[in-house]
Amino acid sequence: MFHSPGTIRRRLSPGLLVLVLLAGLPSLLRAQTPERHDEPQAAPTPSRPDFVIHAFGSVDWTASQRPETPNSFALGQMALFVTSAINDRVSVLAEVVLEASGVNTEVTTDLERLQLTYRLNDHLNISAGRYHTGIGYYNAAFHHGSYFEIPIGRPRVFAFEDEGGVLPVHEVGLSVRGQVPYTGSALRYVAEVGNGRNWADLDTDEGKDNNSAKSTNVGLALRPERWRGFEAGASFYRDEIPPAVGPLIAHRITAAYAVYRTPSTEVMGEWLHLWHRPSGGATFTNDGGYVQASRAFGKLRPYYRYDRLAISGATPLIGSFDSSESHLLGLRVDPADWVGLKGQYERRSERDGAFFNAVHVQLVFVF
Amino acid sequence: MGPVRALLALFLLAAPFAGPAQTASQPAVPPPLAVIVHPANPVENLTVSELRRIFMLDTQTWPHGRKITVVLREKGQAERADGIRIICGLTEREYDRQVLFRTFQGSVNIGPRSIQSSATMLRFVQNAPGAVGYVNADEFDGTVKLLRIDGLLPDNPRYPLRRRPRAPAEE
Repeated sequence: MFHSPGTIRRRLSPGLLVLVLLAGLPSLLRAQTPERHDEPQAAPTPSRPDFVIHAFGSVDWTASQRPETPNSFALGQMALFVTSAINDRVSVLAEVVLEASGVNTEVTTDLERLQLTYRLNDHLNISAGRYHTGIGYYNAAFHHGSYFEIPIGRPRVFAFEDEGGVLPVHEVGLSVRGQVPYTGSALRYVAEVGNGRNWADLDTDEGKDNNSAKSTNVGLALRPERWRGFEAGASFYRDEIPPAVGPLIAHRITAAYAVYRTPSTEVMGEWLHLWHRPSGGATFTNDGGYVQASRAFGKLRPYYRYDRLAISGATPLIGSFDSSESHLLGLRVDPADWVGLKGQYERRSERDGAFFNAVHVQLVFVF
Repeated sequence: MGPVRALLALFLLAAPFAGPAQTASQPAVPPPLAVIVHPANPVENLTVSELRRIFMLDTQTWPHGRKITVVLREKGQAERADGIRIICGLTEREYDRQVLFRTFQGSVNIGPRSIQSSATMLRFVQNAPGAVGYVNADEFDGTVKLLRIDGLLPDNPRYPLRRRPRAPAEE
């Protein structure tokens, strides 16, 4: 496991964790759904901020042909998600992930997202804080709670930084989003300025940049009204990365995608091109992406994903990361509201040509 | 008169007697949905697709800048499921999932409000300048503003927010 330098991570003793949860219990009891339920004499301007909290959890079981990985149950991430409307224009979003260690005696916490958003209108929403970078589609659409993802796990190219991911999945900075005026909400934009991914392990300076160059990301997405559920878009990310040793590395990421998502059907395809060039050196290009499809038949939802990440071993920063190609075939069942059960077969080949089969089962839930 | 014409004549003569029995078994048609906003809201008309974008929380501000507050009936009430199906084309469960998905993405901070009854809905919309909700057309009492949808009012036969007849078991 890679440690994410940009992740705010603290170790909590079980006792302290219980205290934290108890402190939040009154709020949990007060508001547990994204909707507000009003009394007959409801006041339209509340005297305190509206507050919603949810938790996303999962329990996993995996068996693999790899001899070094015995079949095992595991607790997945538990994501505590909080959002609050301070007033009509200002809101706060926070996502805190609790992860049990291998022996379940301690819990680590990651502050994955913390955003203060000012919403002027549908055309201009400005957020400051820590967010999921708007690279492509998947990263900004799906976060740490895995309930909304149909297959088990993220596409390899969108893996989190602390799970061997190659992208700056999280950033600290400013993000501006909205609908492009005069397009009838069909065209949307995103523009972001952030610290970039910190590739050196700087636990003592978590969240701070280690150079003055800021990363930038811009993207456009088209959602035609007449093709409900369809979205196509592209984004371009750039950063200058000072490695622990060696020259400055220019980093660019181009992403393009097309998705069709309705409650019953999901077809998604995305391709990313990663570009690294050390100052005065050669250019290294790599790519990754996925295609996935699913269709609901009542409570049953079969799905398939082709997942690919190809990294040249000589590439700076990410050359040692695993390349892989996977075919996933699975079935999701939603036996009750806010509960999903997924079973998945994976056939995966890796950089050295070796391949293995694996079976994953995941129980996901929201409460 | 041939046998076919005789049979036809027999059916025509019998038709008036068959009519009342058919009418009695026809399910009742609930009144159409009337979309209501605060009396001071300058908006007069919405297209069906504009209304859908508002209830799907894609559009979150009125053209004059005020934040939109979407108001639905309480979970489990038939009026809620009807409104979501007619306006958004989704089931109640699909809608709830979509709202939570959008909230989790960060593109929605707080979802729609839920209201217990039509009377409460009318009172709430009357007091909340950015609110948009709906009641049965026969419950509209003039205290709020009634919006045209695609230029039509609920009494027009081509009004788009008409409900399907309820099966006898639903009544």
